[in-house]
This record gives sequence, structure tokens and C-alpha cells, in this order.
Amino acid sequence: MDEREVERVFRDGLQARAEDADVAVPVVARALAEVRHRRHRRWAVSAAAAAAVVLVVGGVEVLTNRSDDPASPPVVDDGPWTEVRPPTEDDKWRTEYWQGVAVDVPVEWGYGGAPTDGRTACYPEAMVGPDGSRLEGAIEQGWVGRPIAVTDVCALVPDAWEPTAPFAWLGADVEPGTYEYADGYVQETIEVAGTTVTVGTDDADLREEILASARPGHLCEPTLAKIPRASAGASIERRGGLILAQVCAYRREGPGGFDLSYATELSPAAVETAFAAAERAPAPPPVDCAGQRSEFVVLHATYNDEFPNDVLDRTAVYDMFCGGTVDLGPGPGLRALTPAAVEPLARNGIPSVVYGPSGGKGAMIDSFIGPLG
Amino acid sequence: MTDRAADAGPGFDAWVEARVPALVRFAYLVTGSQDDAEDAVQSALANACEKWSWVGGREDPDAYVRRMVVNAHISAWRRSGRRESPVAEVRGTETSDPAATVVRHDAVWRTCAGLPPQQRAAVVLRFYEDLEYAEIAEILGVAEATVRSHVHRALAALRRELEAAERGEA
Repeated sequence: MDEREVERVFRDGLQARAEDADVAVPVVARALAEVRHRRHRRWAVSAAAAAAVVLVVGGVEVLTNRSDDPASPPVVDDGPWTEVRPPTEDDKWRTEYWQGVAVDVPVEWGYGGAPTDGRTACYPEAMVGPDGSRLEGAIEQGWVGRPIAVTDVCALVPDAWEPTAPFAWLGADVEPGTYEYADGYVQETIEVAGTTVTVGTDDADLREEILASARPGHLCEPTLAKIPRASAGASIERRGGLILAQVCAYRREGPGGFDLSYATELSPAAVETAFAAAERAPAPPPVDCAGQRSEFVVLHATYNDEFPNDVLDRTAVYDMFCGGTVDLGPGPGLRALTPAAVEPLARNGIPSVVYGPSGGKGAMIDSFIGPLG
Repeated sequence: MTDRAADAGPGFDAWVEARVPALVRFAYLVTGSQDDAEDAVQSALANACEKWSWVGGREDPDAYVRRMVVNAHISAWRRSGRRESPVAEVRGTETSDPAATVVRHDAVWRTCAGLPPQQRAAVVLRFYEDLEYAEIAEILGVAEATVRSHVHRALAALRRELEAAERGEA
């Protein structure tokens, strides 16, 4: 049987089997009910957040134009973020981002390094836990590696290294294909969305599952030509419940633009803590800081707009250059980067992908990679 | 249709009216079961409805929604911890078909059941939807080479199934 005939068998078989599907099911009605349910839930979160604001300001009335009828939730376009699976208690996977790619990995995996020049990885093992805490000797912990030097201790990969734990490398400088280590680990690299995804494990199912999850990511812009402008958004009176908050870390290696190195969603509580701590931070000291920025982090929050039935955006830009600043946009302005301002977002992968403020901020040593060498 | 018109506009109404049967069939082939197909299509339509101002403005909303169906299925498959796709029962009505055809159709279905979700979706898009490799790559968000590899391996798997069936092992 030649290839064409096998293809024809496939076509005929699928065509015949498709006729088995019951297409008269009320799936449209169910989908619309799901949409209504989502909007009710979003509206409930919005209302709860607004109520919390009333408590925080100590009885000062917050103006809203929200209907009292719970059947009339605001209509919100929450953007093209369908690839993000909301975490649940029993969720065993989380989504990791690098430039334009998104990949699902086991939720318990930590963070480490990946090859940067085809051979050198600094260091190829889990160095930071999934919550962002430093690990010591966690050589059996699975990890997500990015081509960023997490330490100045490096290994030659794969020549002088044997994996002891499963890993997923995002953007590693590795040619597509398969490499077999001596201990049964198999490393497979594919190209997705303009970058590479490499998975190494002795579990073929796990490897295939992770590679199959690789897809274009849309949580944050994959690349930015320049550092974005901060924006404080509209006044707090119009700010309703948080719809989505993203932490997007960017870095650049050369003279071009900035590439996404890490992205995650932030909880409503962490978002408000981060903005409040940044607002309380002092103004940065006046120093001459001419030079090229190499990394920054954007905290972008989208809220329901209670007044015109729309959404409001708020953007803070954390610049790691020259001691570190947080730009909160017109109004709150520029603030110094303090441990309190950093703590709410310097979790999970951030301590393994962002070097942090230059100038020796010892108080933030656990929040970022820190200086190497 | 009133809710729908209010939520997503008449464009969504017309599109959903015309496309749902084909989407359910597509989802049935991708998921391998009626229940999973309905869940995947429901989730995809809910997402499309909420974002219709964006999805409907795309050059090919069908491709985007098919991608949503595939993503919904892969997510559900992962959450359930399943390593295999379900195999639907062979229809009783097929007994009237020539025996060889039934054997071949069963081999196709068994092959599909053994494929990981993304690879299975690639096969369905290629041999049921008759899409080009580049179009499939766009829908699945993978490289064209990955799609070719998926399809090539699936064809090899089907060939093995057919050979086993000929030997009477299936």
C-alpha cells in the first residue's frame, strides 16, 4: 500500500466517522449560558473589589454608575488571551513564556539556566523553586531553563553534563532534533513561534505532552522596540474590579529591541499591594544615569471601568538600571525601587530571569539574580 | 438569538448558524467522543462570542475557532491526566458496509485514538479539513515542519494498523 493509498484510507475513515457526530446538540445555547455565567462572575468580582475600596478609604463614598441589578453585568472585552488557563487548586500545569512562545510545564518545576551559545548553560539545574525561593542542591527537581546566566558556575551541555532531572528549555541555543544522554534521558528540540523549545526527560509521554503544548503566547508582547510609557489610568473612583494583571519581564542582548523573558499573571491582592508599595516609595535620588537599559519589568493591570462600561488600564514600569526606579506614570510619577515595591511581583520566575537593580541593592538580593562574578 | 445579538452582534449569529455542525464534526474527530466534542465546542464558542469584535474581524474566524477547539481539548485532556484519547464504539450501522471498508475505518479510528491530541488535530485538519501544512501550522501554533512530522508519523502508525489488521491481529 503506497503513501497515497494510506492517505486515502485516512480521508475515507475520518469522513465516515465524522457522520457519527450528533450535530443537533444545543451547544450554542450552552455556550451562551457559559458566557452569561462568566460575565456574572466577572461582575461579582468587580463589585467585591469596589466594596473593598470603600472600606479602605474609610467611609469616603466611591462614585460608581453600576446598576444594582445583578442581571445586568458590564460587558467587557477581555482581549485575546485564550491560551492562558486559569489556575485551579488541582491544576498540575502552569504556563511559561519566552519571547513569542508559551509552554505548559508541571507546576512543581523550578527555574534554572539553559544553553546560551549552543554549549554553555549557567547552570543547568533548578536553582529557584516554583515560588521564587532559592534552592540548595535540588538536583532532582524538574526545572524551566532560559538562556540567561543564573549563576557564574556553568556546564558544557551536552558534552560534559548528564541531566538528573527533567527540564524544559525555552529559547535555548540548541538545534532542532533529538539528543540521547547516556542515562536514558532524551532531549528533543522543536521550533515554535520563532524560538526553540527543548524538553529533556526519560519519560517519553511527559516529553511529548510538554512539546505538544508549545504554542504562540499572547499574555505579553513578545518584543518591544522601546521601554513602554507608564500610565496611572483614570481616577480610582472609576476603577472597578481587576480583570487581568500581567507581569512582563523584558531584556535585550544587543542593540535591538527588548525580548520577553518571562510573563505571568498576578493576583488582584498582589497587584494592589505592588501599586500601593510603589506609591509609598520615595523619589529616586538625583544621579546621572546615562546609559543603555538592558532589562525592565512591566506590571499591567486591566480593570472594569465602572462609569462608561469599558475597561481601564494601569501600567507601571520597573527599570532596573542605575539603582532601580518604578515609573507609575503622570501623577504618582517616578519612585525609587524599594524592597517593599519589588516583593509583590519578584516571585515565581522573576528571581531567575531578572538581574535586578545595578548599584548593590543588598536588601533585594533574593528578589533577583543579582550581580554575577 | 436575542442574547447572542446583544452580546456579540449579528455577525456572530450568522457565523455560528452556518458553522456549528462542521465544528462539532471536527471536534468529534479531534476528541474522539461526543461528550468531549460538545465540551470543546462549547468552550470555543463561549470564547469566540466574548471576543467576537476581535475574532469576527479576522480574515478567517473559522481557523481561529478551530484552534480554540483544539486548545480546549488539549487543556481538558491535560487536566484529566489522560494519556490516551477515548475510542468511540464502532457503529452498528457499519455492518452493512463491505467488510474491508469497516476494517479500514476501524484502523483509522484506532490510529487516531493512539495519537497525542495535537498530532491527532494535525491529522484531522490535514485529511478531514483538507488544509495545507502551513494553514495547519498556523492553527496549531507550531512550525510547519512539526505538522509534517505529525502527519508523517500518523501515516506510519496507520500503515502499521492496516498491516496488523491484514494479519488478523487487530
